[in-house]
Amino acid sequence: MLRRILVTAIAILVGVTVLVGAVWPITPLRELRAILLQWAMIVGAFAFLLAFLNLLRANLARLKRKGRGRFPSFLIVLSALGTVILVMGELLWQDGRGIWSQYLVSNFLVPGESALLALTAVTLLLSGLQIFRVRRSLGSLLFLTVALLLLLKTVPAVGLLADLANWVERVLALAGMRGLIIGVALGTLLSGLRTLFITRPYVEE
Amino acid sequence: MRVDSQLMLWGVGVILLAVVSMFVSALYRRKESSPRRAIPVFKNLAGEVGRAAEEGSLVHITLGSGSLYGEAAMTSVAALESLTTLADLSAAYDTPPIVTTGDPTLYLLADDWMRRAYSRLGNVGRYRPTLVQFVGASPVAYAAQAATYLYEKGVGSNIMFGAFAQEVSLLSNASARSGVLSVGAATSWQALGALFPALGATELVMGEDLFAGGALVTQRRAYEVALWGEDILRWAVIAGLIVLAMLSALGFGVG
Repeated sequence: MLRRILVTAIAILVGVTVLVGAVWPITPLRELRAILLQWAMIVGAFAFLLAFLNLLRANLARLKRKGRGRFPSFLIVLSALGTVILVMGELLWQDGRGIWSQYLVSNFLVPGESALLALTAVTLLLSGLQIFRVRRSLGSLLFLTVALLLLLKTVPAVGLLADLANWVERVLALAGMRGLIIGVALGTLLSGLRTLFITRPYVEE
Repeated sequence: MRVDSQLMLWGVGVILLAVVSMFVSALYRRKESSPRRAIPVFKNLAGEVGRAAEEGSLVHITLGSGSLYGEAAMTSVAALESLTTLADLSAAYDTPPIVTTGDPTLYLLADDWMRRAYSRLGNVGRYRPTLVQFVGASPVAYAAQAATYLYEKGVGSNIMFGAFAQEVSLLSNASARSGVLSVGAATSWQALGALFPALGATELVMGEDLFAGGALVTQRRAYEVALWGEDILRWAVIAGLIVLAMLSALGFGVG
């Protein structure tokens, strides 16, 4: 019981300090908020360590099973362990300058991620082409029309269509996007207050 | 400096309005009245577990890459809250889902969430730590790796709830190609643009509706009060925007 009260009190105190520090950035509050957020980052770093161990554990378990996921899991385990050995080697022999890991990031990670991002363009196009199979509605027709209009805008010499596309982008799309963002911001605020003061998922049941 | 103090006042005002709207909801809403929003995705979630139990298939839950100390923290928490009933039923039937996350802090929270579902039933011994998995540190790598799970034998449905961007199309595309039933809930316009053509009207939750999930699936008063408060605040914002637009149109120099 005492533990629950203590945890709740600490969580609410920290939450209120960070919240007030955000909207009222006077000197002691701003500094206190920065310290608390720094502590959160440190906890986040430990979370990374636990997540890394979970990644290894889950993929080793997947390797033991038969299925199509074995090869990606093998690559993940290999690259994860390889990277750890590399970083340890850097710390021991290169005073942590990170030349090898930088090489890995710029030659493997960045190109790989770019390729995957390019792939999302293809998957988005495939989804767009299947829209009428999934939902036949006025909304789908509108979605496809606007998407085509905005694509056409990039073609030179479309004249009036480009003006229309610009108007759609500047007025309708922007208004919709702002509506979405305001709604999400309100949801975030109310859920945050509820989580902090009422439902308190950080307290052990 | 003037802008800073104006922003500060707006911030304080909105927070106070949020607190007041929650109090008003708690005072004036009767206990038995339920929220007005009817979102079929949340209603059907419990059925997914039953279907998985009947067919002997697996439910794959992808929670996105929303960090708990980032701006998408509450989106991730709301996604998890809307899966409370599903987690409880999964623990009861012992048909656990595979939960994949793209952020270490979210991984810890999801792991705790699932463990608590088993603990509530007094069955924590049956919980396996590999049910919740951290699969990638960047959103795109996460989506690509989580998509490989959908091609594995036995996965029957894919629930994509949380903080995503356009990389969610890798997941929705993999679901469609492997014939896995999908539902999604996202708050960013990039993710919604990707999910809208891939999912039917009864399979997609858009924007702020994601935050209604906890209230709709648990029907707990605390969640409902916050949802009613959100509705009050939403109408206040709409009214404010209309008044400001009218004042601006009449030349009163606002906005």
